[in-house]
Amino acid sequence: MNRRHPSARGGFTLIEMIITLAVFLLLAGAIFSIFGATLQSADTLQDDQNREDQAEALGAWLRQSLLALPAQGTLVSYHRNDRPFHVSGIIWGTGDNLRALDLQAQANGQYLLRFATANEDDDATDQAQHWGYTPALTKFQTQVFNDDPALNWRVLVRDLQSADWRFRVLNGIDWTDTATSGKPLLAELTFQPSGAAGAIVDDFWIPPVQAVGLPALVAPPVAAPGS
Amino acid sequence: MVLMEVIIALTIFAVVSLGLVMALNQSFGAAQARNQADTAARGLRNQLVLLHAGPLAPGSRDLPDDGSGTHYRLEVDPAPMSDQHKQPLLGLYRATITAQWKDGNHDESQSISELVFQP
Repeated sequence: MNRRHPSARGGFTLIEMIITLAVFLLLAGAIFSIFGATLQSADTLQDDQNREDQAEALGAWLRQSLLALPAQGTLVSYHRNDRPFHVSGIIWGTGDNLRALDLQAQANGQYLLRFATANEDDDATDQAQHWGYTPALTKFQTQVFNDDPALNWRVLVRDLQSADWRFRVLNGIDWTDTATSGKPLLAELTFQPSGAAGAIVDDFWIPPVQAVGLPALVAPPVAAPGS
Repeated sequence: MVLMEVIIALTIFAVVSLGLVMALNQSFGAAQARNQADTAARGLRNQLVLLHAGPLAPGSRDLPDDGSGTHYRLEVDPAPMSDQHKQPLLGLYRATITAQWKDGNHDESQSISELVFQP
């Protein structure tokens, strides 16, 4: 009977297979954990970059819009009782060009920042052109405060954990939580997007006189659907 | 194929994979440094806006911390200038704000300056 010894077949012994598999598993485990952490970092970094881009676009638009606020323009804040912030939004502009930036509660408990303009064919705008900005401002304020469905809101930023404004008037020493009439010299928006490590602060200078050479109306950066 | 060949192959695989991961980490490090620089730039812009709040006194001073870990310093110096008739233009100052922050072991800085008319 011709029996071959197992080691003469050229295969692996059990101990060789076990050592090889152990080495492979150790290396694979280490590499997968590093890859996992790297991919997680990439996601975090991408989210940070998206938030930064969104904040940058919002800040640039607001800066340009407030710099172009005419000398006779106004900026007022308002507060709704169902919002946990000092300011629920601001309204700024002149009689024929009023805009609102409003915080609205989302179903997930966070907030979205949205933007609307006064309807150009509105009766109050006609009044404003004849009698000054006050009737139009009052009507627009009421519409905004009551969340009038006639207003065409556009979403700028979604999923904010918090957002608040503060203001400083010309020759004022301290910041105030509200802007009630006229227009402040400085406005500061502080907001924290969901998942962000810290709050983003944007300061805006509102010149006491009209800035020259800036476009009167700039389209705001609208958030992409589902972002 | 002996055990040594398998181990060498696995080692090559591990070295290549680690090299790839290290390259990715370098990219993320660079992106994070960019984010820090963007944050400092935003802070500088905000500090420049806040200069409008009141009169500027010549000299240098630290500005209030904005909570981002960046240190801001303001320097206000007279900016001597003259008109086309060589007459000195008074009341002009150059305000320079410098932001300093740490990127790992490196000290980074960025500055912004603006001419201010303060009669």
